[in-house]
Amino acid sequence: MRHERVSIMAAASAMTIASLVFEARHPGRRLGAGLGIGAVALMMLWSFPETPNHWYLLGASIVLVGAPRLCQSTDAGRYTFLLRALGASVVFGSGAQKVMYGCYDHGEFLAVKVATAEERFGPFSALVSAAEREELRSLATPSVVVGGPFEIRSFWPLLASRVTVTLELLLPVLMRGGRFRTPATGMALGFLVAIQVLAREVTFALAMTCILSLFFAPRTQRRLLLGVGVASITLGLVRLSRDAANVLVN
Amino acid sequence: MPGVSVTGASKPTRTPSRLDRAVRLIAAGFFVWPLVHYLLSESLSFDPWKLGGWAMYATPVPRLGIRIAVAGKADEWSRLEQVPQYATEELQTFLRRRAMLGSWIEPRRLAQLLLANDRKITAVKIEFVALRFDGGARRFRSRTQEYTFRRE
Repeated sequence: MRHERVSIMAAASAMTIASLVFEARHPGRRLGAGLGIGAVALMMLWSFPETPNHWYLLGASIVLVGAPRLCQSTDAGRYTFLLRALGASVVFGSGAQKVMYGCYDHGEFLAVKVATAEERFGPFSALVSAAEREELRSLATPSVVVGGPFEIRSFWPLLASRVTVTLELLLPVLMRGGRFRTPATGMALGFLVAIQVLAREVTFALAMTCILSLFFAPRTQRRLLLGVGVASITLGLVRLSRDAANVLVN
Repeated sequence: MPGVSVTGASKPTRTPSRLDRAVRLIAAGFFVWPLVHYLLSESLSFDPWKLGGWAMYATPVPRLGIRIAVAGKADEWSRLEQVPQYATEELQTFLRRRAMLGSWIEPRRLAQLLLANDRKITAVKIEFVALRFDGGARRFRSRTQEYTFRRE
């Protein structure tokens, strides 16, 4: 199984590199787009059903970027519209899911995370009063959850919980156009990146930055993409050096 | 005069092409998908955090428990406290897939493995307990699903 995974990852990486090479050469653009889409499809098939959500996001984006080249279409407007819709739908969908599951109105989700003392929610947990934290922790251990109700009474975390849902539902509507588009997108981006970085979902934050950059003026867009490029290379190098250090130690 | 706007103020409207309609439909699909994902996840008990529904952090990840019972020739059920060595890998794979895909995944292969390796077993009963968070009640609720496989 391990060998199989390595082979698929190697094949997908080779296809991605080839797609970048062909992308730069005009006559090879169709081949480049095909290889890029193929690489994503391969990686998604390989990881299914455990595919992380940022891969679905990247997969859909790469298909939308590659499709016009595959069709030899010069109509970039339609694909930009679709990519913007994808970005806005992710923000709106996150809010809609929170409403449907009903875990944010009384801070239920945060209460469960405080109760199970999940490390990545430490900064949010610190906002809850000590007495309430103790009370919640008596309801659960990291592996067992009993009783309830799981709810938050402290003012700031409860406000944060409700504001999260409100912003996720409201900002995509404002991002549709008009004078609120740029501030709404900036707010959505800042909010999303802050949450994802706190929750250590950096890849998702980087992918969303690329997609939401399409709502900004070209100059801002270029700067954001440059930032994503620098962040991706830095994170990649940090990870590589950490892996290399682990190999040397073991 | 035909073809000339009387007021001169209205813009000529272009009939949307088939491609325009397809693009709008796909864009609408992006917004409808989270609702479809929610309905499927609730009815099929799959992990809301998976399959690209953007429900990460919307609800706690459901917890999954499993109970296995086997029956001998007298048809008396006894609980299997520990899964035999030959079935542990299949059990792990199955639990992982079940957590992700819910009731789409049935434990048929696991049951067949137990039946094939122990001739004394005539039937296998597998019970799942999924703990999902109920937002209305503000507590976890268990959902149980049971499968029984008999030797043919």
